[in-house]
Parts: sequence; structure tokens; C-alpha cells
Amino acid sequence: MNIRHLIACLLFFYMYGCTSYHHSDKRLQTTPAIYPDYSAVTFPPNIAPPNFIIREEADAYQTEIGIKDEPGEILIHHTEPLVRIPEKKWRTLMKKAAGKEIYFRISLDKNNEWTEYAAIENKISIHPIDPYLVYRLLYPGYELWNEMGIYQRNLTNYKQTPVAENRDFGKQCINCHTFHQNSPDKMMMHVRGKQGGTLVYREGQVKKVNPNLPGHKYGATYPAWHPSGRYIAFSANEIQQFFHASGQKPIEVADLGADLVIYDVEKHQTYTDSLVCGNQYMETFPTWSPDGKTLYFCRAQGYRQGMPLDSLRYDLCRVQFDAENQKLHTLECVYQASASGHSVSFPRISPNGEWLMFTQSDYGNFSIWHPESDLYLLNLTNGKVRNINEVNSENVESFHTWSSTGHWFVFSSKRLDGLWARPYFAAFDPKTGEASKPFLLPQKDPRFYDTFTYTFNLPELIKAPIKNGREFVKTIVQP
Amino acid sequence: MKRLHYIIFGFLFVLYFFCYYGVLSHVLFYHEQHHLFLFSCDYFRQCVASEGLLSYLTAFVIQFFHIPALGSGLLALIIASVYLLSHQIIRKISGGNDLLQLSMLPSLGLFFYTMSADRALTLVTGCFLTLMLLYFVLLLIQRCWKVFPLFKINYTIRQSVRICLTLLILAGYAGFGYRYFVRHYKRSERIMLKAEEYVKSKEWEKVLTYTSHYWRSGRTNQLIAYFHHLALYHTGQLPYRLLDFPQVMGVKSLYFPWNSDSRESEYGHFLYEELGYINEAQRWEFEAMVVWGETAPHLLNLARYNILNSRPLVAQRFINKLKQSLFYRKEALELEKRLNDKQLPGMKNALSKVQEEPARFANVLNIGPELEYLCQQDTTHRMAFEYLMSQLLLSNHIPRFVENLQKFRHLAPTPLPQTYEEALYIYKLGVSEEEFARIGFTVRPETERRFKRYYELAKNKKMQALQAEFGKTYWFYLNYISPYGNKVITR
Repeated sequence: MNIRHLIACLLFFYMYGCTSYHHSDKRLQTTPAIYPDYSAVTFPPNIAPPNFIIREEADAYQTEIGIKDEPGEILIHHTEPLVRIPEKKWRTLMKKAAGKEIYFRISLDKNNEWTEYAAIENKISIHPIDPYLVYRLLYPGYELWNEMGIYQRNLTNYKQTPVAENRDFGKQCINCHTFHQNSPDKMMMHVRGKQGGTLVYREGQVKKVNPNLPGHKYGATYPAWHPSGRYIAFSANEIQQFFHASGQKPIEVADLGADLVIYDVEKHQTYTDSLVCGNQYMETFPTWSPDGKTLYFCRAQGYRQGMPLDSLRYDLCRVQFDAENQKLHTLECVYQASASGHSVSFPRISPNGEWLMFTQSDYGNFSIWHPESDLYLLNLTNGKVRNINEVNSENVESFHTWSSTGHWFVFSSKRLDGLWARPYFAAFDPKTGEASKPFLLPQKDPRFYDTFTYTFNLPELIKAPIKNGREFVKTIVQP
Repeated sequence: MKRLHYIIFGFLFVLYFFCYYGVLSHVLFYHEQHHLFLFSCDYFRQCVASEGLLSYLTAFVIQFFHIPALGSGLLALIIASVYLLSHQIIRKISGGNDLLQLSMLPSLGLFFYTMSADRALTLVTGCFLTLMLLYFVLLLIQRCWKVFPLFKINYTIRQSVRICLTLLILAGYAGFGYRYFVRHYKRSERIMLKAEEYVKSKEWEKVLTYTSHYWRSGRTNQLIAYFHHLALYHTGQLPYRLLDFPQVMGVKSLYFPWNSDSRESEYGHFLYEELGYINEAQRWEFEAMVVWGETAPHLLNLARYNILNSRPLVAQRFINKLKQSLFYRKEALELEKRLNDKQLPGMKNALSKVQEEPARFANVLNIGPELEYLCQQDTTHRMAFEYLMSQLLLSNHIPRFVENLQKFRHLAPTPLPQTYEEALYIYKLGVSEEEFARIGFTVRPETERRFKRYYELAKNKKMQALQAEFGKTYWFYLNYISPYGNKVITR
């Protein structure tokens, strides 16, 4: 046997060893523990392979992936419990699996005996998700900051690209990236620092603007694009941080004052109305109905010196908007959360205008630091409110945004450890208002979240990638 | 002469080694505490993307500073090698020996450059790698094209003269180097960093040695004062030696009020950790990590604080990072074993059982209310008590000092420290005898007699005698040093 034969034999055995199917000696009725929890979830057909770790001890692992009641299409062998699904094979499988269920059938080799666990089953939706997720990455810190940036992640693979990183503009703070109807063609973000301002991108141009209301005490903060793309509603907030002396909740972020203003991006004018501006109430987190006629927001009693912060509770309100005359009128409370000792933040209306998702916590409006905060759904047709139990956890669920179709939503959850927010996705049925069990943003290395110490801030789904990140940076630094 | 460069290289290595191991050991300590090299692909990608490959390589070198002898040897070797490489390059290009010993200049320059802790070591690794690369490129060029030497220097002078000249030049370098080193050596920086090192290792007597040395030189520095008081408390001397040195900064010598200052963010957690005020320690340490990066001290402390605060999953993330390092892996594994213990040896969470309704928020600008709160929550909290007393004395709040002394009298040392008694006497002078009797403390006749003498000297404006005799008394502090004026604050 010459060297070529030897190599060929070795290669053959290697290939055989890699792909050969191990029949099990034993079958279990339970499913194995995997991390992240990708069991009984619904995936969009265009999602990147959800790699995971098998949390069971064994000498070798076999994972078979296929469509329910059909033979397996992907077979993965490993001596480590990491399951990295080949991207091409996954994509091929997804093309066939849309609208069906898939399984992860896991077998473990313990002392030369293969044991097959009950298959983990997941659904594949027929509705693709918007292919890009935009978020800010930063330490979940308090007052000081150093490096941060806004990034976009291609959800169909694992590629993350920076939109704007603050190392390119003197480590100033960058925040509040917001899109007009999930489109990168109209977007805005704030920059805080010596070259600070609000950057608005529209009609192919980035402009640094000042949306602050002249003479008003507070600067424009939380934005919401009007469906027409002509206006941005802002809350203008005076935000303060307070630090808990004891207990596991480290910080409370509270408004000491807040009003709503509307900025006209064409005329560069800002105006408000006494209905949503004044000391009696604090108004924040504006969001528009899809027809642009109603502005929803959160409202609490105005802060008075010495008021306990845990007595500040926000209700969900709305005010009518007359776009023609640029007037606000007819204010009403839609959901009085304070009456039951709760507080509302981050209202977001589904693209079909029938559902309003919000975060509910015990008090305040900065729910990302409230472990009790959960996602709730208001049926705008009949006014009923329900806890979206199917997506909530024991820990924080907070910021959320809809996909452009309304069949998906993404939200921040701290369920993994209680400190770092990570993006979770859930399928949504716009007809019934039911959501699926959520899944964590897949990563190439499933151990990624074990050592990643940045938090995913403000996850927003968009239909196409942002291509003008450099323009944002240029506009920030230009005098 | 042929082997001279090896002798110089050896000499430089030994010289540098002893400097880094001795008088410059604080520089290595500083760098080690501000860098953390991790053996992971994610770290490589992140480090190269944000800071560059050179920073990655520098961090690799710096991790060995964890063992001072190894770190000193490595840095000495790199900087001494810069000499050797420069020498070889000059010799290759010129074809002759470096008579003026110019090749010593980059090495000496780099050594002087590293004398200050805030200088980035990327320059050192960058120079070393560039010279090494250049040397190998020259070797390759020589092998392929044989172009060197570019010019040949033929010395016409006699060898004995050459030796004398070389020795003279070397003596010149030595003289200049010594003078430069002495003139530019930062003693204050060394004192601060050594004090910090011993605060971290809780060697309080050594902290006092350095901080007292600094105070004695007549200078004042908030960090030194802060460390000094921590050490005084831990050696049981805080109430007795509070006024040993002029407290010109007032209460700011006891703690760092939160000023959103990135430099100060590194130090605030020490006091809160010692007080067992874990939420505040955690906050300061997290702010420091945000500013200074994920270095071992920050990650270790954050893991500890989160264990104490019953947040094991958060602690686990910091431990996971440390497990990827070479020298902190063992410590991380030890902490991992204790993840669910809620307590750690030598540390306490004084507020672990406190549940506030409505929520209580820390006063981040004034530690006074926090110390009072700690004393109320933990009636055995001697450190909170001594700091509270010191804070009230240094802020001229004598009535509140007396009120709290009375309230927490079980924590007060007996007999009362002289400073406390001096403050009590001032209080006594301002109230009726019945009122003073109600507080249940007495002032010794000796103290009253001393005050009469103090008053005499002050009235006659005999400042020198007053300072010599009473410079360390509370009376002198209140009348002449306190930054809050010479009046008792009664509010």
C-alpha cells in the first residue's frame, strides 16, 4: 500500500465517521436540555441556523435535523456538545420546511451506548422576518460610557456590521436610532457630546438638526416617526438616575419632567400643545397609529419634590392629530394602569393597527431595570388588555418593535442572567393576537452569550441594510 | 571589543530588570491592572478591531507582569533587545562597529519612556517588532542580493584610543542616564500606586508607610488621604490619628463624592466594599469597568459583589471572562465554586437583609446619610460609625456629631479619643450644663485645661506655638484648617 492509498483510506474513514448514522440502543421519552432554548419555538424561514449547546454529559453527540415525519436532512456528529448547523444545508431545509415542523433529534453516546432522546420540535413560519436587526451595543452601565456603537445584524446569517461606532467621533454617546416603518431610507439617531445633535436621514441625505422646542426646558429624547414621514413626535424629558441602596435592583431611571413635541422634518419647526405639555403631567414614549391620526403615549402625574419614585405610574393615553392643521386635540386615557398599581411604557402599534403592545411594570417608565416588567397586548378593537404570557419570563421584558409585516416582533429580555438585555423574537398572528414562544438571536458560536458583556439596546427590525453609516459619522464630525 | 555589544546588552538587561523589579515595580503593577489578555477568538477579534494588532500583542506581554520577576525580566529583555537589534542593523548596514554606541539611544529612550505609568507600552512592543522585522528583512536582502554593507567605515585611529573613546561615550550615557532618571522619576506616582497595591492586598501597615511619607512631605492629595484613612481604620487608629496631618480637603479626604469623573471611578469602590455597602461598591466598580475596560480587578470585584448580592448568573458572566485568562483562571474557578453561597471570606453585605418600602436611594454626593443609614441597619458596624464621626467632625457638624455619638454610643471607644473629646468640649461651651449632662458624656479636666492654654495662645496670636502645641487638635482644625470656615455648623 503506497502513501496515496493510505491517505485515501484515512480520508474515507474520516468522511464515513463524520456522516454515518448511529442507531440508538435506547430511547428516552424526554427531550434533552439545550441552550439557548430552541425548543417548541417558531422560526422564520429566513433565519440563520440556530446553533446550540446540548446540556447533557456524553462521550459523543449526534444531532439529526429534518422535517417532521420525514427522514433527517442534516446529520451532525461531534465529541463536543456544540451543535453548529451547516448554513447551506439549513437554508435548503428551510426552503422545504416553511409552514411545517422540524425536529432536532439528539442521541448521546455514553460508554459506547447510544441513547436517543425525544425529538425537539420547532415550527417554521411561512412568513419571513425582516432580514436586519439594528441595535446599540454598550455596557449596561449607569452614567459613564466609553465605547459604544449602533450595529446591524443580518438575521439570515451571522454577519454584524457597524452602522456608527463612537470611536470614530470622539467617543460621544449615540442613541435612539429610529426608523420610519422599518425602512432604512428614513431614519434618525441622537448624538450626545460636544458635536451632539439629532441626525435625520431622508431623501438620501443626512442632516444634523435641532428638534428642541425653543424655550423649552428639556431636549428632544424618545422619537416616533409619523407614518407620512414628515413628522417626528418626540418626548422631551428631564431624566435622572437614582441608585438603590440595597436589594438586587441596582438603578432607577426616572423622569422629573416630560412633555411631547412634534418636529416637522421638512420645515424644521417644532411645536407642541398644552394637552401634552405642562407641569401637571409627564408625557413620554410617543407612538403613532398606522393611519397617522392618533398619537399614543404614556402619562403620569408631574413629579413634585420629595415624591417617592415608586409612586410614579404611567397610564396609556392618546390624542388626535390633525396633520393638515398640525393640531393636537381630544385627549383620552386608553388604559389606566395606575389604577391597578402598574405603569406602562413603550407602546407600539402593530402595522395593521389592531394591536398595541406595551411594557408593564410596577412603577416608573424605565422598565429595562425592572425585573417584574412584562409585555402586554391591548386589543384596540375591543379595548381588552392581556399579559402575553407566552413570551414573558420571570425577568425583564422591555423594549419591543414590530416587523414590517406584523407577523414578528423583537423584544429585549434579561431572562438569561438579569443584567444584559438580549434580543428575542416571537411570531405573531395578527388575526388572533397570539404569539409563539420566543427564541434568542442565533449566534455562530452558541456560547457567545456566556462571555458577551455588552447589552443589546433598542432592537429594531428593518427591511434592508443601512448603507450610509459613514455619512452619519461624517455629519457628526463636520463643523 | 568584538563582544562588547553582548556585554552592554547583558548589562542593560540586568539594569533594566532591577529597575522594573525595584523602583519601577509600580509601573508594571499599573499596566498589569489595566490590561487583561484573554485566550479566546472573540477577544482577538474585538481587540484587533478596536485597538489594533499591536495592542493585542502588548496585552499578551503585559499579562506576564502579574508575576513581577517574570514581567520585569520580559520587559527588560525586550528593551535590552532593542539595543542589540539596533546594533546589529547598524553593523549590517555600515559594516563596522558602532563606535559612538548610537544603538543604545533607542533602548535608553524606551526605558525612560516607560518610567511613567500612563505611557502606553505599545510603543515598546512596536519598536521591538519593527526592529526585529527590519533585521530579518536585511538578512533576507543580504542573502539574495548581497548589497551590504552599503558603505564601509574604516577607523584609522588606534585600538586603544577606540577603547578609550567607547568607554568615555558609555560613561557619558551612564551619567546622562542617571541624571535623567533621577530628575524625571515620579515619586508621587510611585507612592500612589504602591499605596493602591497594598490597599488591594489589604496590607494596611504598608499603606500607612507610603501615605504617611506622602503627607509628611507637606503635599496633599485626595487619593492618598482616602487610602490613609482606610488604613487608619483597619489598624484601629482612625479616631486617634484623624488630625495627624492637616485635613485641608475636609470630608473629601474620607471618600470620593460621585463627580462623574472617569479617573476617580476606579477608587470609590474600596471604601464601599470595606463598609459592606455592596450596591454602591458595585456601581462604582461597574462605572470603572465601563471606562477602563474589562480588566481583572474590575471583573473579579464585579463577580464578588454579584455573589454577595445573590446574583450568581451575573457573577458567572464575569467569571467566564476571567476563566479565559492565564493568571486569573484559578481565582475565577474558586469564585465559581462559591457562586450560590451569597457570602465570601473577608467580605460582607451589610444590607443583605434590608428590604426598603418605599425604595431607598443612595446619596451619591454626600456619604454622611449613607453612613448613618449603615449604623442604623447594622448596630455593630464600627467602620460606618468611625467614618460617620470623622465625616461629621471634618464637616464642622458638631451638634450632629454629638447626637450620633449619643445614638451609637455602644460603638464609641472608651475612653473617648482625644479628638472626640475636643469636639465635645466645643459643644459643651455652646449649651447649658443641663443639656450637656443629658448626653451622658463627660470631658476630662485635662482637656479643659488644654483648651484654656489653646485659647490663650490663640488670643495672643502666637500662631507658631499654637500650631506646634495644638496643630493636631480638633480646635485647631475648626479654627484654622477646615475648608468650611471656622464656625460650627448647626443645621
